[in-house]
Amino acid sequence: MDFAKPKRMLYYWIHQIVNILLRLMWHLLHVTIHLCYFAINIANALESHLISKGLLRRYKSLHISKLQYLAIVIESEDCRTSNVIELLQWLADLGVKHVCLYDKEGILKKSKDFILEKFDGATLFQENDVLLDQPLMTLEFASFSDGKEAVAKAANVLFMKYLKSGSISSYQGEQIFTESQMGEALKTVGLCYLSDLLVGGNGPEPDLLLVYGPARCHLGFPAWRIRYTEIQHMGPLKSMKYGSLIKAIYKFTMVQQNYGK
Amino acid sequence: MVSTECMTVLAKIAKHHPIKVNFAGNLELLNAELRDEARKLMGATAEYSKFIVTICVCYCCTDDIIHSVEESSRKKHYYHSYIEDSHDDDKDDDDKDDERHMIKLVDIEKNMYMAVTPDPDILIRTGDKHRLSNFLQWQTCHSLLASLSTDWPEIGVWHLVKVVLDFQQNYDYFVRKRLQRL
Repeated sequence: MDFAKPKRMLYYWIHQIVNILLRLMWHLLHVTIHLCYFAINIANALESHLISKGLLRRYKSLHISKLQYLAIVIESEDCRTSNVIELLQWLADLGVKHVCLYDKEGILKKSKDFILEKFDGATLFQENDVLLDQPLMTLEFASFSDGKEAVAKAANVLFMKYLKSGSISSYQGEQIFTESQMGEALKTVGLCYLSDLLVGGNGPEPDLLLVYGPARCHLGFPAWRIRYTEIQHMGPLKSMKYGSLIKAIYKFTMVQQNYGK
Repeated sequence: MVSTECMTVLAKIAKHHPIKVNFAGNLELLNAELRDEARKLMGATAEYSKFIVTICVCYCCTDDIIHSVEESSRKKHYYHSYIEDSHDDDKDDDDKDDERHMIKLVDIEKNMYMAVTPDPDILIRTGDKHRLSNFLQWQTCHSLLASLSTDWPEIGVWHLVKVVLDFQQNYDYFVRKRLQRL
């Protein structure tokens, strides 16, 4: 009698059943994780509520002067201008003076005029602005084109400049561009945008980057500017809380940096 | 920090396991002995493809960007000189020439030290630090930035499991972001 075919069928069905069981276990594991995160979110919401009511003593005094430049990354799919304006109002109340708003698709850049009109406590950040105390908050708007694409444009600026001066050689070991030259070239690219009344996004390096989105990911914020920036994940913009904002800024002011800033 | 002892350990591991080892960074800053050992190890493991380890040596992201801009400029300069020398009669096609002489984003990404490996899905930072410290901020546009409170020597497989589970929670989101980029 030939047992090969029934044997193959048996192995096949055992394999299928094991696969289904493993998938069920995987889904069960993720449901458990969802429940754990749900419980953590409830605890965080309660803590935010207590912080915003001023009931937790350690968050009462924030050394806001340590935060010179704040950047906010917002997921483009969740970009509601009403939420953004409310967030800016909270930041203004806390005393934050310089803010950069970034979203990958450039939706905030397109709504720049509307935001500045509705939120009258801010002016547009200018290329040569120095980060001093000013009565109004300065706002900068950036998008993905101010990151990698700006570096490509700056590379062409440098390339053309040195092509004309004949300084490029084919010797591999020789360094021809420095960090400061790259920085200057990036500023030049920024000025190219000025005529369109869009700031090129090549401003100062933020001290703190808050990410409002489903995951902790900087979504292409200009790489040149976030070398030593603290990155905090705040959750989706639609569930933003004032207490969480205070907690994030407080955590930043407690951080010790190891470079001579 | 890379030393001769590390190289010896790596060479022993690579001898018994099919691991491809890449060293990404400015190897010219290493001493000659270490540089030669690194290149020898890369050459010896070049044919493996199943498991790849990339070790960043003398590396920081801003230096990588500057280096790739220089390399792209050198290559464009060579191409520009070659085109000028061998196609002197093609002067009427000015627009086409300008585009070919432009450095594009794909040229910069191709010439980076980290071009040997794809962009990471997850970046893990240990020691309860929440910054990138000039490491891979260019390559982590669509990566999960995980921060662990444990220090590097105490990190274990369960920390990795937790990070991978976090990544799986947002897997659809990251795939959507990467596809948007394409």
